[in-house]
Amino acid sequence: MGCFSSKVARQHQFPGYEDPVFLASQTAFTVSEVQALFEMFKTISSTVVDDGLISKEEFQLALFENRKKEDLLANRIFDLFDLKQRGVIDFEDFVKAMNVFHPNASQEDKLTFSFKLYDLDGSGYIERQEVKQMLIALLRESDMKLADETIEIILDKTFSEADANQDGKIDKSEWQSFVGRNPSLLKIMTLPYLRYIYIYILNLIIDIRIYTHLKDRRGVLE
Amino acid sequence: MKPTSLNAFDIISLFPDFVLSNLIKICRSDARFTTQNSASTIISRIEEVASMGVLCFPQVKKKDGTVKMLGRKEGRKGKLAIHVEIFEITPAFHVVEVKKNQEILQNAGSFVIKA
Repeated sequence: MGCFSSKVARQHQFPGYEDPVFLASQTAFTVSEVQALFEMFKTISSTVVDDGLISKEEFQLALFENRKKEDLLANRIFDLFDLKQRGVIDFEDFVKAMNVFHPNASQEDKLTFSFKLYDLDGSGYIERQEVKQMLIALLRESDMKLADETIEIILDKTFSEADANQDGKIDKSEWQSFVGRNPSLLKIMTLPYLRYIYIYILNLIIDIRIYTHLKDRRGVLE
Repeated sequence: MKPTSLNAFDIISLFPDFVLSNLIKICRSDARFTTQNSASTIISRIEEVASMGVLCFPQVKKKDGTVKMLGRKEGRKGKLAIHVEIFEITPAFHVVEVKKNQEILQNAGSFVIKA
């Protein structure tokens, strides 16, 4: 592990592959956890095209078990994972993005990610229209029905609180203050289940292929 | 008693399975493996894993073809527990099923068989 030729071989098969020791030094993950993330990455990136990269479709499949499902936030998250902006996520992108959700990642990184997440069009501002879009999209998925009027009231309240200069949009520093007063808003930026990546460590130790629940559900037999 | 007042972002993050959690569903879901190792090799390797610092499983119980591991740290949903069950296809071919944090599920069926 870590010898030059095997890394080169890996990089051929998995563009963007980086040595786990290196990635562990750059993130809050341990070397074993990065290895586990690699197993996870391999699973996700091979579901549609086995090219060592996660496409939008493969990302959607991993999230929703349904490649056709479009989702505002999922799309935005994909864009944010796609650090090099090439329309695909490589292993290095994957580890660095997942790192933001690690319990030990910096609050600053979590703040930045959440701001970019809600700034759907990447304009540098979270606009009222964007928040409304997200609310409506999520409500549509759930059983909750809210009148348009109620949604407007919620938006009014949120923006009166968050939009300090009342220009109809929330900039990065307004977001920072708002989150400072409402720290629970960053809760979504930490994934408690990250500790479960151990499952992929088991694979390494026992030296076997993983057949995940996900693959079973899609009827992939091999 | 005044209930907590939610803003739009609270509501957005309230929804169950908020997007990214689904990604980790792969981790949350159960896993089934096939292996050409013998049952004793499998079990000794699982014990090896259990003793690795990163996983902190101080309690390991073995019985028939199952291994149960209980974590040390108390998480939000209690201690992390793993239940591993080994099914023999042939003495040199096994299916290993791993379940997390549960009461054993009723369905023993539908494990993947390698042709």
